[in-house]
Amino acid sequence: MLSVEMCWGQAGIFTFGQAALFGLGGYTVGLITKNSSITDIGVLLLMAIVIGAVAGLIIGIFLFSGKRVGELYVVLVTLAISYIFERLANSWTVLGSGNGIPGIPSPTLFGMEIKSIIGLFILAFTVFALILFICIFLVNSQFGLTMNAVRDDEERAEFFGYKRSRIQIVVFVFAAVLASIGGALFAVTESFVSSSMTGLGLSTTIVLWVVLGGRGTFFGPLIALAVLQAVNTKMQEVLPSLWPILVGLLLVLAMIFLPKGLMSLPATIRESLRKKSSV
Amino acid sequence: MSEIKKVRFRRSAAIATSLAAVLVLAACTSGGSDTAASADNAEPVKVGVLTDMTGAFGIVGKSNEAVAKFTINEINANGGVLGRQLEMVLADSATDAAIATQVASRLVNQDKVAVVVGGVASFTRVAVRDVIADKGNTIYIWPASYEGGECSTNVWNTGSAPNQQVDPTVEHLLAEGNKTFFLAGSDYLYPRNILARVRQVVEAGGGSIVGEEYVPLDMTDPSNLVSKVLAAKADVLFEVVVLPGTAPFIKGVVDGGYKGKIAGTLFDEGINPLIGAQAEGLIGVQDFYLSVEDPFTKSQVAKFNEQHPEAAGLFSATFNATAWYRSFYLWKAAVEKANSFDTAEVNKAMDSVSLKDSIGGPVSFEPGTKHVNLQMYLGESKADGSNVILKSLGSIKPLECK
Amino acid sequence: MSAQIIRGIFDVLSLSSILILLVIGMAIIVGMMKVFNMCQGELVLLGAVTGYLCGIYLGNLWIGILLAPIVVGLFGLVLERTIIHRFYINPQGALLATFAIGLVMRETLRNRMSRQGTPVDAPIQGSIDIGGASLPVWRIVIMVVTLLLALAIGYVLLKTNLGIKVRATLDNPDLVSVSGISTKWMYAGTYAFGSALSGFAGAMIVPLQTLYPNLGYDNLILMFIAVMIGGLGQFAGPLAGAALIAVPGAIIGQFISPVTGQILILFLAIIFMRFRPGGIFQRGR
Repeated sequence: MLSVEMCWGQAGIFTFGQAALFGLGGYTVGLITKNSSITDIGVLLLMAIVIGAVAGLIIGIFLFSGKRVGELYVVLVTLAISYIFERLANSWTVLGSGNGIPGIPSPTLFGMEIKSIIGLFILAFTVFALILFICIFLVNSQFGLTMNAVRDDEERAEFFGYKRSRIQIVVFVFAAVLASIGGALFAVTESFVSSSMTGLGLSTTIVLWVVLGGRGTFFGPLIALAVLQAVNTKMQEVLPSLWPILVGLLLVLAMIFLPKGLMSLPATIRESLRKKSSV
Repeated sequence: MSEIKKVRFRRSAAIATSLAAVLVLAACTSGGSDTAASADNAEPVKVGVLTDMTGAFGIVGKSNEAVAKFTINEINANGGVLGRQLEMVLADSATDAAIATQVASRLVNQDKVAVVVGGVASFTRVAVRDVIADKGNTIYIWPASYEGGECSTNVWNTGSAPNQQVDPTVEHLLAEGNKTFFLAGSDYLYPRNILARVRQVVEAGGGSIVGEEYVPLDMTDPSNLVSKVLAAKADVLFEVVVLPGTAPFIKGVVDGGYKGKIAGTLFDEGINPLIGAQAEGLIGVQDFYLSVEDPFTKSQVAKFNEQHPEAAGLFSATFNATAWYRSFYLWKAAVEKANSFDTAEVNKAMDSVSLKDSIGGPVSFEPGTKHVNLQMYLGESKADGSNVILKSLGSIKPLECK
Repeated sequence: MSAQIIRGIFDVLSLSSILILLVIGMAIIVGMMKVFNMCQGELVLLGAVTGYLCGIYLGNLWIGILLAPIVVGLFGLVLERTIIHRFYINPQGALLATFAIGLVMRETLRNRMSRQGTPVDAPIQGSIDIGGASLPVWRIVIMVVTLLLALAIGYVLLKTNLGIKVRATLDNPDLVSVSGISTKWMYAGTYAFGSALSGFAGAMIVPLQTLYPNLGYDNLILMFIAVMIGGLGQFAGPLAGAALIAVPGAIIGQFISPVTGQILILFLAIIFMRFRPGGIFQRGR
């Protein structure tokens, strides 16, 4: 999810394709553990990073080098890539023909097997914290400022001598790597990968988190994620058939009244109160 | 990143697990197993019911839920299992593998169910079986006719295996004098495995395959495939094109003037209404049709429709209704045979349990196969969606896990 | 053999006319208005539902086909005035909001349905025999209707006073509002018109498919690609775009597996769009 936030919130690249890259990371781990005895989490993550980076680079160069393309085109291509990847995961026997790859073994670290739930949690949390740290560092660095500049005004940024395409590609690759790591972690903690984690469903869910959380902030989406998921699990039990409809309505309302996300809620309320009191 | 939520959940699950372990330990040391068992007597046993209440298979989930309620109520009304009542814990797997593992993990680690029955699609089974049967060390019953090959420990299959549906269908068609077959399916594991079995039986029986084609899962207008089928002029079209493609495909073939027979594994009262009038003449084999004359079956189905009007018309073999029904009873039989709810003991007992009466006819586990011997029926569909039984095939052995 | 060729040609015509019919509404909303309308598929779905309900309760799908554009058009009008109009300045917002609207519509239908899908019978059943190939009449009707509809709308947009006003509004709303035309209602009307066309398409094609919640959504990516290939800012482009992906798709599908064919077409479309971002009728830049 950080990956979309990075791409969209910080650099203004709107993408629907993160699930394909998420799936790519997951399937990479699945295939490696299935066909070899490698279970070391370091090696697995490294492979996921490499694969994610290569895929991100190819798509990134294709999308952003040379003449600039419209943002609708980016959305459409990333959508199509998600779609193609889901198709492949469904039909290709190597990828389990829709059943996915089950039975991925517990990961090992320096020869030690991380089997317990707490161990897996610590692993996921460490990687996550590390990524969050790198993200915050990047956003606040010179590069981050450049990135925001490109988002806010491509032409002006270019005028100042920043290479738009190069920056967009770097961000896209970075986001692809993050998604791929996410997929790899998902695979080792859940011990399976399947086509439903590559499809349009996940892509749109991720975008939903970022929207509700507010783009341009890191913690907004994280909070939205935590709240939404907790609510989600509960609601799916209480109102199984009505819940998806409510999610949609919620999203429409959020788009209209909270275009900046949940994080802006306090500020928005303060704003409207002030307006009222001043009237 | 979705792991955050999962790990959060896992953490609380872990705490719950360790707490429970301490409690169990305390119970054991203080009283020994006898007192523990008698103290439990009043407590109901939790039974996990996992199905897709939402998403693409939501309608199947509706049927599954009703059948599960019906069966569990019936067992409870007759004294429960080993004197204990069953308590149904329903979990929605939402037609999504990732959600399925979450809810499965909750059933096993939080609710501590004695058994999980469930799953609609194979990807759900594959995703949850590790959580339930392997890591969770809990009996998992997979109640669906599927592509075959599920032989994991603690996993028991109560739906029909490919050979139980495919072999009699193809043998019937060959015996009628049909020689050439065209195979068509949606592009994923189930159709591919079913059609591989068809090919094997056709070729062994002296027939020939004149074409084999797959369409994408969500293809809504399979005109190209229709034209290929019409051009091939095979005696038989064996099709496993799943929804939403089924109706347009069969309509196209029938309206296009196809003269041969159409056979498949997914034709019955549950699916035929989606095909419409073109369902006339479709051939297939199922473990149950509404027209099965067995008195136990007839009275049970009538009772079901009366108690569950919300799911009336959803009691069909393709919605796995019969497999769900027998799943609970087979498990009950195994528990009673083992005189214990312990996974290892039940697992041992399960291998050879049988039911004299079940909806569709008697059923028993074929020892060593993890699959069931089933009464099968050769049926032909009518335009109104109903099916006439051409032949009662008797009990057929599953050819799995050898 | 010749029957096979006739059937092959018929498939190409039929598949392209269906995609064009589906794209007509989108050509207006996405192509001309440049609103990235993710709920276009659900507008088609709503049309299909209207058709189906009329078929059931009034016993006549013809009425449904006539009523569908009215119902969906009014729905589009309400949608535009309540929600969509807020997002003209924010295309990404429009995309997400319409996606959410689509989700609501889809899930509501799923909630209301008692089956996974329902077959709908065409008002004209049967097929006619040409050169040994029997061709379904309803598909022929769709071909003719699509052709007439596309020509009629093209005529209205290019030749009539109303069409000129609409195009002017979309090209330069400020200038137009100065000249005394209500751009607000122009936009709303255009959106409603695009919705109505999608609703009509839905009622027309539902007899060939099954009425199920993802009816529109499953076609959405292809529809979008058709519009993008055709190019934004015009009406004819998207229709040509639809033909450009449906024709080779249908031809390829006759020789290789439809699965590979579909992926291949998507790839080619992506690459084509990369090098001709303005679409087929791109003017030299």
